[in-house]
Amino acid sequence: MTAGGALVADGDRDRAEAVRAELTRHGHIVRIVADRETLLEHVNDEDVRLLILAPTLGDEPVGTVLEALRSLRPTSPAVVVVAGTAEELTDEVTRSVVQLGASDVWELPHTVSATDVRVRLVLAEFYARLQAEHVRVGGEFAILRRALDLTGTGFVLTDPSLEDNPIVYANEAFFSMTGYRADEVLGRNCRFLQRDVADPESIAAIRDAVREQRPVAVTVRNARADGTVFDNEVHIAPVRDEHGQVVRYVGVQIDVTGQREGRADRLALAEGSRRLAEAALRRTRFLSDASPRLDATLDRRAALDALALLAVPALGTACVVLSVQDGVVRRDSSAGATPAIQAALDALPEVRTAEEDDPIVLAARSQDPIPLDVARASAALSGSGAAGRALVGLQGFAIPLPARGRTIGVLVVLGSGPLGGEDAALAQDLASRAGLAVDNARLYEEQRQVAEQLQRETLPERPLRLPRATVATRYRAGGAGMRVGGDFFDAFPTEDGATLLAIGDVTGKGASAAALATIARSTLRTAGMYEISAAAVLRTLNLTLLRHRAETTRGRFVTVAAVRLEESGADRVRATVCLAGHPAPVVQRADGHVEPVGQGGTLLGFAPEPRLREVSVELAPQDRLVLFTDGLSEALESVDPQASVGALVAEHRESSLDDLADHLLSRAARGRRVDDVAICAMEVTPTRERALHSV
Amino acid sequence: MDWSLQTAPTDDSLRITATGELDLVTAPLLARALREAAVEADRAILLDLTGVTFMDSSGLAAVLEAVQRSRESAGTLRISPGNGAVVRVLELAGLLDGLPLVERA
Repeated sequence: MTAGGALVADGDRDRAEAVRAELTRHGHIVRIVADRETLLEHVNDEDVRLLILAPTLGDEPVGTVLEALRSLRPTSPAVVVVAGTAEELTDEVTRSVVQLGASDVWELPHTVSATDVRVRLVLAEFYARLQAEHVRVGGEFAILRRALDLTGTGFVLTDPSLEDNPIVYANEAFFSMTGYRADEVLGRNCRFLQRDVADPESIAAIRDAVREQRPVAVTVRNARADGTVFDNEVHIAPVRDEHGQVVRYVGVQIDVTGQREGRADRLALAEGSRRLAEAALRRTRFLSDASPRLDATLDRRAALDALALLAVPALGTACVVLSVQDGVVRRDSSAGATPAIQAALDALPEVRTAEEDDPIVLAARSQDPIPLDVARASAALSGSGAAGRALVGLQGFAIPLPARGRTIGVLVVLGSGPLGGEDAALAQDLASRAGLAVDNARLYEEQRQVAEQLQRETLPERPLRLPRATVATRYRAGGAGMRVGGDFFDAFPTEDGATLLAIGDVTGKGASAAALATIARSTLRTAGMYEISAAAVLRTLNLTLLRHRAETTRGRFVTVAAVRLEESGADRVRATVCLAGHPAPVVQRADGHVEPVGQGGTLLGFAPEPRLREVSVELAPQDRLVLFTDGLSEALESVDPQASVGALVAEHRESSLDDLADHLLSRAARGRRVDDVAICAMEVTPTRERALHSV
Repeated sequence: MDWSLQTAPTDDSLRITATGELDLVTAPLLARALREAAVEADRAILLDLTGVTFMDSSGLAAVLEAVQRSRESAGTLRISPGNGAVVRVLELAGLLDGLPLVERA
């Protein structure tokens, strides 16, 4: 979190001062306000990045204050935290403020003064946690935490960006399991638990997994604070932010001592905990993926489609969003994990009469998820009619989508097996976010700023960073009055730790092109978590686009150039290029020689089986690779645009990478036609130079 | 060449002829003509693009949308791309062998 202005809204002067002292220490400029009016007056001040609210302000509960803030400043980038005592922060308050978008809830000691060391420690820990959780992933970590706390499972979060990947958070269950206190645990690497009792094989397995940024589960022998030894089944998994960077590792610990004999029990417990941890993580990832996408969608319809699309397969194999209005149940959107399920969902009636016993009608009236057994799932999908064979036997939940005190729809999530209680709680958390996102989308429909927000979502928030290479990127949306374009680029790690660099172009213009660009970028990123090759990632996007046959994407197609980058030998990078209807990137060798890389492939969103071929090329230090969209090649207006771009790159061998990118962009702007342009140029860095830089 | 768009019925089909630059400005006009033509479901459509001197992604999208619609409604759509700008774009998009192309509409 970048420091900036912070507002502390609390009538308790001492508590507000204590919070101010801590925030000031982190570089925030802090203003304290004591009442609602002053808060609302200053919340629009430039640079307010953090809001710390008391559970009540005057006589007003924080929930209504949050709603007022939201309506006043719906797209505020500020992180919201509610801070109060345990008595003030009941479960109900906590739940409602998280639903209203608060990133965290801080439980502070009763007697607070700014000089109290204990208070400072508590605040410091909370602040570190907030930093860890950042804006987007904020609430989602809270969900993971609650899910694990509820089951009494011990867990820690570690921060790989700090030296030696130390523990930055541990829950109560972890302390009681190990006998250590917070100050003995925080800031240390997990290996201190091993003392001299662990076996080297398990340790190596953990070390490898962390290095390769993948999940692992092993049983290790650990020692408690009092020296007693216990068998600790450790599940470790990376947690990625919305840029795909690993920001935390979560380590779930289960004491399995004495369960080695009862093998079945042990396996069941291990399996159960693994399922829980993985489910929670999957949902964490899913939610951190979902939030920007749901926030960014242009209209209610698109938001509903995005929701259905996102929920499969992360939450279930079939997902339908329905609404109840004017005596009918309307199917707004649906997504299935397989073509057969999608086809069966598409075949369901779009509208049916709202009968009193219809599960959707019941769910729309309820505040809580309604479990759907096989029979009720069928009724939820098709009323009294029959659902297709692919949908028979599914079960799950119908979850109301609440927003601003109303229910705006019902999310039905179905899978082949029964979903557990924790699934319901998590699904409800999702529903509240999704409901708000859908409702926000409705409110924003006429606002131009949404389109601009959308545009930002098509591009990474931070500059791209590649291992072993420097990067320069340029982007310009073409044409006055048409500032929203459909070009996008991104770079993110793949499942096996390589990097995927992608640039793409959605056909057409305007907000819906940008919406699809957002979905395309997000889908590539998600696919990168599960797939290794560039072609496989592009195939996934193709299937998603074909499946997503909503009005928003009709007649829109996506071209992409995807490049998988991996280290190859001492100082080389192997670039494997896969083209989907996109101009080939240009390689320029250190000696100036220029050539296009890649074999033509089919654009995405049109054919079920696109022709996608990979071509690999080895890049040595100072070799350049330039990716671009047709806004550049078309602006050159030559018979062979590909060759013209190559010639343009060749002209600027002596320029820096940034200057090259600037030249290309300005050349594109000189064309008669002004289309969107995206340019992504990289140059491989010599190994030694990199070693020096990374110190 | 200036942009022009003509829709003319022949014996058993509807011939749509576009000439000039098929871009952001003109693509929506072609898309609309193709949509309107598709309403007459029993007629085959011949899309003559031999006179198109430039086609960008908006133009491509208009053509592909018509192909998709024609497939969904089991209609007949044939496209004559000529041998210039349109073919180059289709080639780049990897679609030369995935579309109902004909030499001469």
